[in-house]
Amino acid sequence: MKWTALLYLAAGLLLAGDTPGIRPRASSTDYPAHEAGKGLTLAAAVIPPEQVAKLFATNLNHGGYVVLEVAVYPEAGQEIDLQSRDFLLQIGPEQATLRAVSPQAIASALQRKNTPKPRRPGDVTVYPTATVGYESGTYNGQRHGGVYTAAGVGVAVGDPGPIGPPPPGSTDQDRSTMEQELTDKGLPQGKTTQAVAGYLYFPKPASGRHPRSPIHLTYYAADGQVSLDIPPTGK
Amino acid sequence: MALRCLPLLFLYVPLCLAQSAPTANQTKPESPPVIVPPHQTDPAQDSQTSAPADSKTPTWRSRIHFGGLVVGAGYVYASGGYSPFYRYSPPLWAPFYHPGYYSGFLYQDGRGEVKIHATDKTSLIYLDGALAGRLDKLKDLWLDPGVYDLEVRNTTHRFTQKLYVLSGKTLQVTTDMMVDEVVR
Repeated sequence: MKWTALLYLAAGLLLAGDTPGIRPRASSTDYPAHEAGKGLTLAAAVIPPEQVAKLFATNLNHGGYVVLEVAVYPEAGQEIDLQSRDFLLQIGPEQATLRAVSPQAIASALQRKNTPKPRRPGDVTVYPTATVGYESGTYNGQRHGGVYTAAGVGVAVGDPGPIGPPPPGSTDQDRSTMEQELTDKGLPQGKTTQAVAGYLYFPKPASGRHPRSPIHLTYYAADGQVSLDIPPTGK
Repeated sequence: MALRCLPLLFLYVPLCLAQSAPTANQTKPESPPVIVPPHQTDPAQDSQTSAPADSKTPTWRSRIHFGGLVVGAGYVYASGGYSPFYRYSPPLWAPFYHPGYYSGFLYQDGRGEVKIHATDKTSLIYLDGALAGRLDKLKDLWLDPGVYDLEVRNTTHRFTQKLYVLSGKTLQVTTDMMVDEVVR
């Protein structure tokens, strides 16, 4: 019995040591936007692209994602079931509603984006060449010299195979690393009674004018919804 | 350098002995050669006695094994790592050394770069709990893509952070960004 208890304790300590998400700020008022709902307080901030580049190894700016830092503060004794799919984002007054994208989907999309298109057997590769030289010689006892030039084109048909290192962020290892990073830093999923915080990733709208447009975040909880108007970032 | 190779030698000699043990067993059944006068020699018997005599244990095997030890020592020296017995290094019983400690975290295709900035250049760098080297010796770390637990330790502080290394990308890490724990 004692051994079982010790085993559970050890397992609990191991699991508790590496929880996903980030540390929530001391209070919900520390965020640019916060709103109290039924049994919880929701707070959020938009992370500017330059800060995203510093915070993440994964190139979310290149992928076209908006990153929000979201914190949820449950009231004492309240348990809430957090799921990223319960958050919806609206950028600008007339924009469509956006749903948070999962880390798996982002990692796969970025890997696909970073991978160069495979060559087809019929592809033709052209290699232009240019030569500039100097020649000299003796003719009728006099020394003559001059510059000569030449140009040419080499043509190759077919796949030349992999040349050089793989493009950044294009390997399977990269994909799993990106996925783990986004999961580790993402908003924790599941039931909680304590304040939690993490990042949510939304696709940028097609117009791409997100930073200056007002951002409207809605959380659909089991007992109702909480809405936030987040001020746009400075740039 | 010689001191550094000593643990390797202790590890290597039993391995060599263990490897040479089976060959000794194979030659064990041989019986002492029977000397027969030339006029009593039988062709069949002759072939039986001559076979074990030819398969006597060759002595060159052990020489090859010790040659391997010399190569291993050269490899350690070429890594550019510093002696772990120097005053800033951990004691002999330090649990692990990162494989890159010996290879120097050199550039390879498909690796990502990590640059660590800290005020105390004598801080020790640990990756996944294993010693990677001293900060001033590790200006550029090239690591395979993956997640690593980075630790920068000096006499008073212990900074920790998770590293997400992607191929072809450079990560700039400063101790300001890391979780700081005062040691004493």
